[in-house]
Amino acid sequence: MSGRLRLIAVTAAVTLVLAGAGAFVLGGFHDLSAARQHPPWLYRGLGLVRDAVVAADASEVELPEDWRPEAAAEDAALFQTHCATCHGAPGLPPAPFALGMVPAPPNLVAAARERPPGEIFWFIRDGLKMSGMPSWRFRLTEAEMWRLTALVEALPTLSPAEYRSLLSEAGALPPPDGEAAPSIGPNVLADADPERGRMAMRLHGCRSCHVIPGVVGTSDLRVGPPLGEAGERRYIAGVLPNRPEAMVRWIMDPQAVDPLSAMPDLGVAEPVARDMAAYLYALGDGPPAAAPQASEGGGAPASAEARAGGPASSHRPD
Amino acid sequence: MRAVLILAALAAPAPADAEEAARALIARHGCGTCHVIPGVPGADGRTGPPLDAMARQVYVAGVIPNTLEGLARFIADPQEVDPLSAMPDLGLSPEEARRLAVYLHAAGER
Repeated sequence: MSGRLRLIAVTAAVTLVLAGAGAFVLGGFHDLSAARQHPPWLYRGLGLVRDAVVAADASEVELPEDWRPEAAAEDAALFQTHCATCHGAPGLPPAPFALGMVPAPPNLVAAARERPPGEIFWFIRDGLKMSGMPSWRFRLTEAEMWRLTALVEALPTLSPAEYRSLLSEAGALPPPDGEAAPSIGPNVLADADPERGRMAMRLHGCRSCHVIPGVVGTSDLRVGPPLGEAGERRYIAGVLPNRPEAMVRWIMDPQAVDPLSAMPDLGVAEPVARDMAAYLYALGDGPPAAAPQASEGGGAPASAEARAGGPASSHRPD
Repeated sequence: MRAVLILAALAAPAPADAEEAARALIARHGCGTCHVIPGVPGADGRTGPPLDAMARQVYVAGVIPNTLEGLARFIADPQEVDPLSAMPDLGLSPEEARRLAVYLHAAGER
């Protein structure tokens, strides 16, 4: 009898160990490199658990009586100092160190549209383990945390230009990077590697704002347009006729293309931007056949063409 | 907050004829030659971005917040919102632009 019990115990123990080892290896838990993404099912699972737990915890947060979403200049400056370093801001990039974080710090304009103020406050006050989000207790007062919550919840009402003018009013506008607008040579895709581009997009936090096939992240994200068909669209950012040099220029310096754009200048180096463009084109059938051929470097703003009769007239003979 | 917005949208008088009128406008102005538009057969253009989830889109044309007013403003006069935009000014009245904005904001939630 004791022999049979021992057999059952040993079988159970061995089964548990094997199952654990299997889950560890097959589930990708041994892969701790931040250069590789989470398996999609793990990313989604962690997100579901996080949202359920945070919703329950944050339901006990009580809003101050006079609280309301509000974009005050001094709070925008506070946000720019403490939050935008990782999360970015409308039209402004995170600090370079934050671009390679896994998981990528979420874009807070999108978060504000989805989450109630109690949850935003909870994230600021309590932080989130293993995500890089710190608890701001002791370093911000409760009043400051509520003011930041008010600013975050007001972000969806601000254009990038309005956010910049708030910062400027508070004397907190970051200085321009001083780099000249890039001039892009021909044949930009000649040595480009789409697969390297895919990894570079992950490690520049592109997925915080765009849904990108092949890159794991929040589903239904619409801060920027989904990029699955971006390579096939006839215009980039609604402004530049889509050809590879224009795509590289846009990725490297969006404000040189359109000063009003919400897309931030992420400091992408040209070879990296070439790889990213190659990945975007590899997702579809390449640049649209009807796009004008390169004849003038980085491409001119499309407004003149648009006014001259719409996109259909943008094809100019060379 | 989103749930409230959706409920409000459902509760508001959104009769089928308003939708029909919006579809007629879309057909008349050829929006589908440049955009993918839900509920409009043949609207599968790839010149501009797909308009399949406008309610979730954070920005209009990547430059202003996506409110009903903002979207209507852009449709009525794209270059007033972004002088560089390739979107043509189709000469819609403010009322027509608003009707299209309402249609597009509801279309993503259907």
